[in-house]
Amino acid sequence: MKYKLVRKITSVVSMFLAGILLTGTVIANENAGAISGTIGAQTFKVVQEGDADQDTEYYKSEYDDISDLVSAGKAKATQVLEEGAVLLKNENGALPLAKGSKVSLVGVTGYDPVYGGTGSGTISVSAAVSYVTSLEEAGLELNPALKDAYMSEDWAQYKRGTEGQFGTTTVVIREAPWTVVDEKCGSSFAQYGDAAIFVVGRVGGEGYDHIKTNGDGVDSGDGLGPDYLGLNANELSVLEGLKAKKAAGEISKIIVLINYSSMIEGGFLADPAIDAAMWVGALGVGGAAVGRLLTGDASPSGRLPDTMWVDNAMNPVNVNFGRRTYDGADELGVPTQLGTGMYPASTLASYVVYQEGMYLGYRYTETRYEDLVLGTPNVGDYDYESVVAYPFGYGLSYADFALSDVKVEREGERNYVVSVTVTNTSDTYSGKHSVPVYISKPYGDYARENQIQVPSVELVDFGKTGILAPGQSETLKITVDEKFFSSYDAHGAKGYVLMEGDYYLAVGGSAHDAVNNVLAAKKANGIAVDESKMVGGTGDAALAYKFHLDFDSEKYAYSDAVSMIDGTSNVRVTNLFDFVDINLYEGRGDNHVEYYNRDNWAAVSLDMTDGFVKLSMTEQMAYDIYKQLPAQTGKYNNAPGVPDKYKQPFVKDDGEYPTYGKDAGLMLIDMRYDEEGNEISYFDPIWDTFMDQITWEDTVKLVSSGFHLTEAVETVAKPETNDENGPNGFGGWAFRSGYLSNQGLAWRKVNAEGGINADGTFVEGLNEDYFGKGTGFPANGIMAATMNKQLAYEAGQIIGEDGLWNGCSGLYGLGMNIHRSPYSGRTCEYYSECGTLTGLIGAMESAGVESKGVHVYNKHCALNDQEVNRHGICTWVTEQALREIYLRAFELPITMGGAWNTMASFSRFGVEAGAACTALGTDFLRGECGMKGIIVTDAYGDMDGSQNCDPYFEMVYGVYVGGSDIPDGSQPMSEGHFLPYETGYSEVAWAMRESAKRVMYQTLWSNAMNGISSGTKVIQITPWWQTALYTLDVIVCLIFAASMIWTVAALVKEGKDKKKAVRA
Amino acid sequence: MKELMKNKAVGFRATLACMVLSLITAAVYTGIYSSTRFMSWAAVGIIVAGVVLTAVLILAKQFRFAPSLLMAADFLAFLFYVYYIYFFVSSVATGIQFSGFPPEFFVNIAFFVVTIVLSVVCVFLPQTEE
Repeated sequence: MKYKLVRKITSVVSMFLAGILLTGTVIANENAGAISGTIGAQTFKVVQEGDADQDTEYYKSEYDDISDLVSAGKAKATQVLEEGAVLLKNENGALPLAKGSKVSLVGVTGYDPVYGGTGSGTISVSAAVSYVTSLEEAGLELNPALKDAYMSEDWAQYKRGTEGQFGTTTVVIREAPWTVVDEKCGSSFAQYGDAAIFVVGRVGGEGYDHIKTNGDGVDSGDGLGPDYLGLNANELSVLEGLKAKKAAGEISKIIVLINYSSMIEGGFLADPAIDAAMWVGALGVGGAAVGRLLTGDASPSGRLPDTMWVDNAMNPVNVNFGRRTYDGADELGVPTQLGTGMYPASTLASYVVYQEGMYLGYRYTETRYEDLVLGTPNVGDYDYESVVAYPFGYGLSYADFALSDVKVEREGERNYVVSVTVTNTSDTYSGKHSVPVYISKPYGDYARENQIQVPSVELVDFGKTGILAPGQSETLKITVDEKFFSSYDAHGAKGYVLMEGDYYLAVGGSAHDAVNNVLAAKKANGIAVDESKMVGGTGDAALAYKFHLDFDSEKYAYSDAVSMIDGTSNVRVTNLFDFVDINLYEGRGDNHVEYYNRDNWAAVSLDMTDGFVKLSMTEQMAYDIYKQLPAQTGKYNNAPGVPDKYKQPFVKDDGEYPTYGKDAGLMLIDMRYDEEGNEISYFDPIWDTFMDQITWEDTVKLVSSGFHLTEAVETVAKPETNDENGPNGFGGWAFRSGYLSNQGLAWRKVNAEGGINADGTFVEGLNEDYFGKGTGFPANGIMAATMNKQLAYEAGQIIGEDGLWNGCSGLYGLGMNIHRSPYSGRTCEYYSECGTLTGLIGAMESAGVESKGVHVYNKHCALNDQEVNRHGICTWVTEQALREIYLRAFELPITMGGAWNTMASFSRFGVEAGAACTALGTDFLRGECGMKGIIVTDAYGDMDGSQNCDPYFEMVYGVYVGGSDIPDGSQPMSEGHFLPYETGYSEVAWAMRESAKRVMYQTLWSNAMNGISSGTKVIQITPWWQTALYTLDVIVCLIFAASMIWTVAALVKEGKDKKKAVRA
Repeated sequence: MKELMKNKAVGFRATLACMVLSLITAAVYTGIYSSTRFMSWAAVGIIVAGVVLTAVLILAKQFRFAPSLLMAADFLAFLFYVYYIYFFVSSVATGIQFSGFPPEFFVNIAFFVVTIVLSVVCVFLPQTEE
């Protein structure tokens, strides 16, 4: 009897274990690459057979010791925040605070800072510096009663948080109300009343926006919903409470710190009771800067990278931001909603129209202001002061600076050298000063006739001084490229044109200062200017330089970069994106959009409830949308329910296939230099010989698996690469063993010193810094606000060094999308509302990263400027705005910064998915910009239907049309997406060959080749976790089988015994 | 019915209850996931087949084998459910999308777990009076 029980228990338990293990094995094998990459398990080993003395560190570190790198990273992040924090207000010298001041730090964020974003923008905060530490280290004495209360268990309920479920989660502000603060700590303020520092915090991240959310912000009835970017009732109560304390003489000053990567509504800062305010973005690990700034150890020198609006309802972008679906989509058989969807949104029928066109952010506020002052008709009801709290480029300092001796000299064919002397006129404070340069172009008949939009001023470049002591001067020379003076003419010349007329180069200050300076110069040149309507002074004509240009449509007709399509030509720049403008898209039907126009400021409604552009889906749209799901491909392709009329299979052909598996004895490392030591071009015929060696199977692997990696190819010693998030520096969850997660410099160094055991574990007592996860930089808006290119380069170098040490040769970043709306959840990853500022800073940071053999994947190219409906949203925008704002942000890092790769957007260009857009991937990025590397999709599982959304893109199609090269996922490999094309589809095969070649090429010129010589072999191995899993499978299955045999034997015996008993 | 219940132990009643619970679990699962891409119709089919075959065994008076078959079917169905839902779970767990699990996720899990636990208990309970 007791054996029967044991047998039963053994059978049941082993069956459960076997079932769980076998299912787990199937799942694990489907995601083997991702698992190995995430836990850092070795999938290949490098065996040296050649000259051991050969220097194979092709990309070298500047640091000998990991601790030096960690320290340098933290110092650099601190410097970025010091130079990027923007002093918005400083009445009567409220700041800086004297050392030893006794201050009250108020607000939950004061004790729980916002360091970064969520999702891909996550950074490691283990080395972050809190406000408490920062302020105390800077010599301020903090109110201990407040500190105890805010950090107590009781007050945890007031911390920022989230509400809701998957896919519909929203962030909430909460905050401790004043009644609670006053009751618990009210009497302590008088003792710590030198200043009250109120920290207002907001968080953003991947997958959610902030508009019309169900958060706990105050709904002011402006159509924006309970506004997360305004103050909530508790925060307002705190502010009122502090004002009462100030009125009662218990505190001397109220200082507000805004701890959010984007702009909250700034109207409340006009309250005269608030003495000073500073925007500190998200801190990264550079929080030590806050204390230094508040106490004057450093003087603020940042400039706003975005417009801060008084009320976001006045921002015309927001009316066309968020969740919209086409009318009539259901009737055409295109689903608009998912039932219990993980992402309760349509991937096939949502859209957004960038109706503001060129007039985004300061390009809107300042242009309409200029038109008002110039008396332009149709300017409408516009009150600048009720719209703009602080303009783009605004920023105060403790020191005062004067600009003088502004000169502009032409240099060569297209450079304008702007020289300006900056003098620190204060007698106390030292500091840096940045000088933005803006262009004002003519808005004349040609522009009007060809629908070219001309903002009043646009940033074209900037410079920054070193630290200037009181009385000290520095002359900056800022070289501005004339190309920035051209406008994209999508209707007439179909290219960049210099329009005939007067131009003004204005230097210094905010965009608003620049407009006023231009207006002053125009007035001096006889143009009627109504000074009574000017805000913020009447400008200084001496700071604007006027010059005249003739019409020229040829000077910038060709790209500067050499095309990576043929390697020799500079391509003619012409319309590539007509299909992205709903007014030009051939399948538009009756749809038409009135974009913002300088002659029609009424084009965009500010009715936030119902003013958005309404579009209807046409049959052609549906057909074009489904085209990206070829009928033969994918696990979910053309699932039941998709009308047959939209099914579009790849067409078979009888063309010749590439050669596969023809050994020529070439290893990947051999492709760097020829025998004379010359770099081998991507277009050298030897690459054909090299690629002919690659088998069909390896080609499939290369283009179908790319979850944060590119696959290894043993036959040519191509190593697997590690490509990790993120936009604010490496970090987050991917680095479980910190710098030792992959076989980078840190691992090799520790291994050489005997620090790694035979089983791959680390010896005791290793330097703890080896387990750090890389420097997390402040929000990229802060980086932009520094307006310091050299600093951006140096920050990029730190990120590159982190990659070098932790074994990553690819960075899923930087984030080059645009702060189109402050409500975008992902502003932490992106730089600015200005594509030129984004591009110029991003170019330098990219160059820094690339200098260490780490290829950036600048993301998300492009138009991923909102998170709601980001999967498959059709984005409609004019080609001028697309090129001059949204693509410029990606173009400059490639052409000026040498960025190798991009990550495609989830969203669509018109109807074409960003990852399946030939015009973008082939014609623009590779053709016009000369991008050398690869395009990875964004998270692939979000696109092919693996998750609960309608599939809208298949990797095979992306490769076929040249829109992307690899997926950020492994599904296409595990599900065999490419296998049906082994015969009969030569066009697909050649496209696969080209993408595979690009993967090889970008790996070759990365730090993944460090340690590899021509005698090196890359041998693929089964990672330890798979071996362990298989072993367990076998053991458990054997036990289960044994128990079954035992059971059967027992039953047989039981039967025999019964028979015996019956016979007896 | 009376005949069927004659000489049956409490385990047999539990097995019958488990059969009903299995069908309820299948219905709950279908209700929650049928409109999603995480639906495994194989799982539902296996549960229903398990219940039918269990009934056949009972009718064939093979009472002692009935709970084992039911348990195996419920467990196998659960594995199919897991296979189809895992991508969702991993997405939530890695947190890239700022997420949490919805209540119906836990409801479904609870039904499966209770069903399987009950089926295991049935395996260890005698089905007939000795």
